[in-house]
Amino acid sequence: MQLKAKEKPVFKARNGGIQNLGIFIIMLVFIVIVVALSGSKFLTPTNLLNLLRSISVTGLMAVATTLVMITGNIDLSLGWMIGLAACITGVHSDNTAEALVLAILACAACGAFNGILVGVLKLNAFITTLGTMYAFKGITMMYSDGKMLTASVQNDSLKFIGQGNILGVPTPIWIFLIAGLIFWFLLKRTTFGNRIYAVGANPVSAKFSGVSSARIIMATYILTGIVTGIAGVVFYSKVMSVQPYSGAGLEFDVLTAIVLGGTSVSGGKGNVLGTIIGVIFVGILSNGFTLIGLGSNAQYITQGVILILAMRADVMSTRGMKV
Amino acid sequence: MKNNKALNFLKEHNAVVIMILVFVAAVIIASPKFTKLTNLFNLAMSIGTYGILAIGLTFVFIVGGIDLSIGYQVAFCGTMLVILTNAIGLAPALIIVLSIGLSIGYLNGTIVTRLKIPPLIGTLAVMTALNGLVLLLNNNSGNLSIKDTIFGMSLPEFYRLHIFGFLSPSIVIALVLFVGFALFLKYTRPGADMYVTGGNREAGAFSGINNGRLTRIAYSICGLCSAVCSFLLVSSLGASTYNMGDGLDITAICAVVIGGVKMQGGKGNMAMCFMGVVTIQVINNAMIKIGLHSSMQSLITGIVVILVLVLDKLTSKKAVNA
Repeated sequence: MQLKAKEKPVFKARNGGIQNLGIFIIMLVFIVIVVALSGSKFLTPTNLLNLLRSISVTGLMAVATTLVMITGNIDLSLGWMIGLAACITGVHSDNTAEALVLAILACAACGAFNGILVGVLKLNAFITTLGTMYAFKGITMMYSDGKMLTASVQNDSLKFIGQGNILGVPTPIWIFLIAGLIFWFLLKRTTFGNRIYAVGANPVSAKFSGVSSARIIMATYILTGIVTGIAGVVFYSKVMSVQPYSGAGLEFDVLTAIVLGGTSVSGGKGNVLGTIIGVIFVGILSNGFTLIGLGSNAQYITQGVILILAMRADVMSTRGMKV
Repeated sequence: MKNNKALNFLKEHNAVVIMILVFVAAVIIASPKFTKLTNLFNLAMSIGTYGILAIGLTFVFIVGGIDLSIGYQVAFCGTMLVILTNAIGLAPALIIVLSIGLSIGYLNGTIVTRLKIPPLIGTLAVMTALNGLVLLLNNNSGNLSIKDTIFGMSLPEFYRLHIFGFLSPSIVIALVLFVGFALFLKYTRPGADMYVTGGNREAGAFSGINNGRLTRIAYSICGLCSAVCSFLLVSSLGASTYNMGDGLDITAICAVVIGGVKMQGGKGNMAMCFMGVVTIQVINNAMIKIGLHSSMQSLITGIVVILVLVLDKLTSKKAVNA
C-alpha cells in the first residue's frame, strides 16, 4: 500500500500546474481555427467577456466540485441543487440578502446530506448523489410548483450580481475568479488541501496518519453546496427569471470541465487551475461554434470527441510516467 | 433452522422485501385505481419497455462498468428508426437500427477497454456526442412521426396489442430477453466469466479470461437493449422526439441499483434487475394513480435509492474498514 502511494505522482501533480498538456494543445489549435474562421469576431474584448460571463456559473460549481473529485468522489446532484438555489432566489427576489442567505443555507444543507451519506456512511458516491439528485429534484419542483419564477419587483442589487459591471468586467466573472482564487489557495496552501489529496490518493494511509476521511469528504461536499448556492443566485440574476428544471444536466457540464482540466475520476489528482482551463475550453467551444455559425449539435459532437482525445492523451502520459 | 435460512435469504436479497413492501403500499394506498386490470396491464407494459433498458445496464454493471449514454442511445436509435422506416420500410430499418445499437455499445466497450478511459468519462463523451447527433437529426427540436405499419396496424396499435388478453409485444419481448439473458448468465461460459471480470479482474486475467472482450460484449448487449427499447418507445408514441431519452439512463441506473446489482461489479442477475424495475415502475404508477405530482415521485424514488444503499450497508456481512 505504502509503495503504491509513492508511485502515484500526487505531489508532483499538485505543484506542477497544468498536468494535462494534451488538452492545452487541443485548445490552442481550436482557438487558432476559430480565430481564422470567424475573422476578427472572436478576439474582441466584448466577445471574450461574454464568453467568460457565460461560463461563470458552471465555472463556480466546477472549482468547488474539483475538491469533491480529488477525494475520489463525485456529485451528480449539482444540477438540481443549483435549480433549488435559483428557485429560492426567485421566490425571495425582493430581498437580495435574504435570497443569498437562504440559497446558500439550503444548498449547504443539501451538500451536508450528501456528505453524511458518502463520507460518514461510506456509500457509493455515484449512486448516492444520483439518489439525492432525484430527491432534490422533487424538493425543487415542489417548492417552485414546477412554474417559471420571475422577479416581481425591481431589485437593483440582485440584478447587479448577475448583470452588473465592476471596472468594466461583469460581476459574475469577478465572483468566478475570486472563488477560483480561494479554492486554489485552499488546495495548494493549506493543511486542509493536503488532506483532501491524501484522502483521495490513499484513504488507508490517510487514516493512519490521523486524517478523518469522513470529515474531509463532508467538508468538500458542504463547500460545494455553499458555492452552488452562490452560483444559483448568479444563475437567477443573470436573466432575473428561472425555470425550475433549467439546472438539470449542468452536473455533466461541470464533470466534463473538471475532467478536461486533468482531474482524475479515481481521486488524488487534479487542481483548480486545470479546472478553470477546462471550463474556459468548453466556453470557447460553445462560443466558437456559435461564431462560425454551427449550432450546439456540432459543438456536442466535437466536445464528445475531444473528451475522448484528451482522456486518451492523459492515459498515455500517465502510463509513460510509470515506466 | 429453516427460519434462519429464510432470514438469510432476505438479508441477501433486500430487493425482494423492498419490492413486496412497495407493491403492498401501492395496493393499500392507491387501491381501486391501482388494482384495476387495465392499469396492471399498463404497468406490465411499462415494466417491459423500461426493463429492457435495465437488462442491458445490468450486464455493464456486472463487468464493473457504467453506461451514462443509454438515454441518448435510445433517442438516437429511435430517431434513426423513424427516419429509416420512412425511407425504406420498417423491417430493414429495424435490422439497421439494432446493428446501430450494437455498434454504439461496442464503441463504448472499445473506448473503455482498448483506450483505457474510465467508463464514467468514456460514456459521458459518447453521451455528449450522441446528444449532438440527435439534435442534428431532429433539426434541433420537434418530433418525427413514423408512417409505416406492422402486421397491418399502426405502431401505437401494435404496442397496445393484447396477446391472449394479458400479453403485449413489450411484455413478450422483455420476457424473452429476461429469460434468455438469465440462462446466458447462468449456464454459458462467457456469462459465468463476466462475473469474474467484474469481481476480480486480475484473477480473471490469470485464469485465461479475456476481460476486454467480455467487457465489450457486455457493452454491446447494452447497446442492443437500448435499440430494442427505442423501438418499443417509438411504437408507443408513434413518433420519435429529440428528448425521448432524457432521464431514461438515470431511471434505469436507479432500478438496477434498487434491485441489488452492485456498481462495483461481479454481482447481479436478471432477477435482481427485474425486481428493481418493478419497484420503480410500481412507485411511478401508484403515484400517478393517487394523483400525486411528479415532484413527489422523484422525491420518493430518491429516498428509496438512498434507503436501499443504507440497508445494503447495514446488512452486508463484510466488515468495512478504512
